[in-house]
Amino acid sequence: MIENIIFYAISSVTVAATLSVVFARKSVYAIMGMVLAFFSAATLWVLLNAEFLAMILVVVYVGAVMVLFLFVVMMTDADTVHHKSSKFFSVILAIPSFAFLLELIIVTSKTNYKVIDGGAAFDVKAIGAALFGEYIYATEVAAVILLVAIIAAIALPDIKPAEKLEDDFEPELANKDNRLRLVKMDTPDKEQNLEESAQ
Amino acid sequence: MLMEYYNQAIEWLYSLPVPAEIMTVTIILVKIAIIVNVLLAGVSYLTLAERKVIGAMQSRIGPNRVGPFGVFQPIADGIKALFKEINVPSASDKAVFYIAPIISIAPALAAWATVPFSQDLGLVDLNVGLLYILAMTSISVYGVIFAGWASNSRYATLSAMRAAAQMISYELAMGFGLLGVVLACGSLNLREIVMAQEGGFWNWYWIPLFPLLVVYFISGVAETNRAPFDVVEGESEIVTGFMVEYSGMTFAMFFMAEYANMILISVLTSILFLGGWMSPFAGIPVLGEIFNFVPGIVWLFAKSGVFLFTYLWIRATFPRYRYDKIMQLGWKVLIPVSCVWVVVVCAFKLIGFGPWFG
Repeated sequence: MIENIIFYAISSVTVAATLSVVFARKSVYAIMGMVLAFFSAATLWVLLNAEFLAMILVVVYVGAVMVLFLFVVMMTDADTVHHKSSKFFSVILAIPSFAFLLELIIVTSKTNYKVIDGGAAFDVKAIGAALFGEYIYATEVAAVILLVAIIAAIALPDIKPAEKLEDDFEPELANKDNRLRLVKMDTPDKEQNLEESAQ
Repeated sequence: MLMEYYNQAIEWLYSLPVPAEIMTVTIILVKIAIIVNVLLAGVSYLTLAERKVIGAMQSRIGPNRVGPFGVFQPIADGIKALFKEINVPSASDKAVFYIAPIISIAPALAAWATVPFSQDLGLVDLNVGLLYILAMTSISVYGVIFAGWASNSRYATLSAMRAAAQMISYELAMGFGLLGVVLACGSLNLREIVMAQEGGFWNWYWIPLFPLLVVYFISGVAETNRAPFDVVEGESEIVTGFMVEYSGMTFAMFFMAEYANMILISVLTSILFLGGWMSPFAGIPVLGEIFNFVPGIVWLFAKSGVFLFTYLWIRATFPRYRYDKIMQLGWKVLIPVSCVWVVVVCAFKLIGFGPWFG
């Protein structure tokens, strides 16, 4: 009973947050909505007793991925760029979106869902055993793909070796020579000076 | 002894003519209230301790006007913050401006839910307690970023940029530090991590995991944006950074979040590496029995106190790091060191090294 109330409350928050991603005027608001959506999705996992997955969702998506999103949006100041989009273009884009939505609705309505206890199925040790036992090849392939992505991200932008930062900057220490320097100079003759001023 | 009284009190509460669910929720809320209040009291007196300690280190007296030795100074500060006007810049984003301090302090308080204070003290005994704390602390960066963005000020935006980059970078080093502990103990449950270190101070993880202890504490200092990594606030460059437009209680909330996170890092370091509530004299013939009466929570607070003092000590003695040097330290020193040590821990684990991995 209470669980149902909590479930529907969190689900409606998730849906509202997801909608706000689409309809937000400012891109920072969209990201806030997305963060909230991830967070409430994580609480849904907690309701399923799948605490590990919930925490991973928060750590990875909320803690790292969305911060990078936010970073990019703030840096590029995306709101000042106004895209001129024609209605025709929007309609074209809407067709695949609605097709995808329809597909999701069909798939979710035709699937027979099993009720499982998240605590047993998503135990940390069980997940570890599955990842490094049964699905070891998939895990390794995913790892290699990520590694390739990292290397590509470093190699692709053609960065010229930037001017070396002054890492080895050492302040010039004062010593006896440069602290006080005696310079020999010709002093103008005193009498000559007086004569000049008199003239 | 105390535990028996507690159990009797709980039994009596459940025997009252109130539905059991409502009673459960009430008890949990009371526990949360106790933890949060004790924490906030700790936070306010940490500010006083900071001013006193740094004052002593710099041959000053520190606050001594309000009450004997200035002990009521935090209360005076709190009252001042409460009654100050909250200025909202006209060009700011109002909603986000008000949400930012809340996002900042909420995870700082929420993270305490899974911290075990002693054998049977603590709110929740979560199997993924360590991950939960990591998740909560990773949210707090949003408070800083939103504050910087919403203030619509150059200083604040600059500070938010610095904060985002710094906190993400040091979270990695921190995660690797935690990974070593999890590997050594084989559990993400904080209670089990402490239980795995049972028996005297040479059984604690600080000996085999010493590099990770150092890495964890340094990245903890960087995560909380404290000196010498406080370029996020950098008074001499960007005023107070993301907090520059905040006044009164909104500013105080950021402040409290920072100090609550400091205490959290110190308590976590003692839980993960120094055996949490375990007595340092356990296993020593005479001393161990003499100190048996001391409740575990005292040991935990004493150990955390050492790290809190180190926080203040560092702030009083080190100059601020340059921003690129901070990044360099995080990515090129701390992460490689902790990576290597995780491998070493794996080797320790394989050969069953010492009393820690037996």
